[in-house]
Amino acid sequence: MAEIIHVKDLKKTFRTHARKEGLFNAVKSLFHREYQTKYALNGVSFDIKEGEIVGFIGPNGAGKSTTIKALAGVLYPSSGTMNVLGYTPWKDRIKYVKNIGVVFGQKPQLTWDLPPLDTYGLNRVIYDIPRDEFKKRLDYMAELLDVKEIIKNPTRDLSLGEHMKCKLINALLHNPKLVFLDEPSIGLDVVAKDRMRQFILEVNKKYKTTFIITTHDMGDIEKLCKRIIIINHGLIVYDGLIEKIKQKYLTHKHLAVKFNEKARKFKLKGCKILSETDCELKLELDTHLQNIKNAINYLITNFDVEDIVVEDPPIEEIIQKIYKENKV
Amino acid sequence: MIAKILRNYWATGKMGLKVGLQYRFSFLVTMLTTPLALFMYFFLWKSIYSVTGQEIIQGFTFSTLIEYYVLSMIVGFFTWCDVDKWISQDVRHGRIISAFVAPMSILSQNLAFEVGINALAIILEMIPVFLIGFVLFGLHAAPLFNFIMFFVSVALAFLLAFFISFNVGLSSFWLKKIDGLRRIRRTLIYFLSGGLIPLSFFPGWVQDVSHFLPFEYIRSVPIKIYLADYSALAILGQIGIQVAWIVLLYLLSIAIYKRAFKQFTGAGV
Repeated sequence: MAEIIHVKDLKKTFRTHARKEGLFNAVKSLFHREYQTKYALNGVSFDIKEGEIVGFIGPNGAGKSTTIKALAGVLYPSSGTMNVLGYTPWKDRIKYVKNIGVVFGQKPQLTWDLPPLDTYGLNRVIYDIPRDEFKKRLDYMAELLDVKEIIKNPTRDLSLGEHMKCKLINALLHNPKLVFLDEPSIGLDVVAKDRMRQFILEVNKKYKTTFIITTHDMGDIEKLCKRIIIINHGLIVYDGLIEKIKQKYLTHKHLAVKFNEKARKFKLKGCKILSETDCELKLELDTHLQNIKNAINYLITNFDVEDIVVEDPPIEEIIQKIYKENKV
Repeated sequence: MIAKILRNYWATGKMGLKVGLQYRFSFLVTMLTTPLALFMYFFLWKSIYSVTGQEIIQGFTFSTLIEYYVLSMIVGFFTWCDVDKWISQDVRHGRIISAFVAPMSILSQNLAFEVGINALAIILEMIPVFLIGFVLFGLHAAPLFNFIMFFVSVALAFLLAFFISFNVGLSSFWLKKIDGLRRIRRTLIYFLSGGLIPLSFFPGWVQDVSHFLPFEYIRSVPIKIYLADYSALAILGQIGIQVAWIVLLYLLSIAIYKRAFKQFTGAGV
């Protein structure tokens, strides 16, 4: 697959004024302001291939939204180069944005007082979507997301989840090659989240649409993305397959053990008790110090064990670890 | 290319119209209450004329002055423009990002939407006020040429008001909150366009300075065209000045927009 995004050494600085608390300082800031230069992006480079689903993650204020905004053509970076689908997004904005779709999870994107259907109709004209194609795609997506009736109600009357689904349709109606989803699962319940993920996977498969997703929901990442880019302090700290990250950072396993008797205290090398109740223990095992087979053997020979479940720690913990390692 | 632009404008304008229609009740109320102001002007000036005992004040007879106010209200429907408010709200709440990802310039999106919103006011309010003017307030029908040129001039006045407001709106990329600037913009237009009282009531030097400012071309000039205060040639001259101001403010808006976009960080939005 061809690469459709090239980003090289992207930087963005901005000025913000800092003021100490209190009324006196508030008045003082009317006359004199101290400015700080902040680095939102500190030299970011990556490439993305057609048809990929890439997850962008990072703690709050790490620079992932800034990267997405630059990719979407709404931000003029301080330096660096970018080529997306053959365009420099911030220079050929109007021509470029015809080829992309964007969902900002936290922003209203549909005309507030009108039903989503009206916004879709507007987009049919400005994106030059043929009428029959428009109808076909709208029916397909509305069916898949189960919003056939909802799109006729004024946007202001929609629930958070319905609104999000309608925005997703809005971003995909013109069959863009590249779609940015900024926190798409905010406010969705479990069923809606699942439906939305299925939808994204299906569109990705059917139309080879490339998706770039920023999220704090690790479920999105695990269900959708093969590759993730982790960004922190305006720098990329990891870019690669999720599987690789798991191999590298999964040095621990979690064991949930159920006993038929009262759990007694015990000591085993590399094994830490995370929590305990009467007949249940949650253990963390360092696989470098102790292999699982030995640990299970030890438990079975010493206790009356009913059940043992071995799990990888949730991906959140791995990500937290990576964030911490990169704290300067 | 032009057909495409027109189709975009038509589709966006329709959205503005639909938003206007969503609030039928508020529109009905405006439609019924706006003309009431004319009665206020009528009785206010009636007593002023009778107290002073003068036939003509600053070049206006009582009946022409009332015609002036009727026309002023009609021009006001066309040139009412709050695009600066929309832009500053969009910038502060981050909706401007959605505008940035649409394949239309920010200028076109706003202009088309504003035309759509105003179209409704023009249809629903202009006709009744014209009728009330003719029946109750002694408004004369203008000569055909003046009548046509009045509408040309009013359309240009709308563009003029739009670009002033648009430029003020763009300043919110730096200032975030522009309530103060907007108040200044509104006040300047209200006073110096002849919205409150005709410009001939102001001191001579204000009138002289005013010729070099864009404001009187928003309201005073179209009204004077209707009232046949200019010769045919002078009408074309005034319209030429309107066009010149529009071009100037348009170029200014392009320059401001470029800088606004360059320093836009989207931080927090």
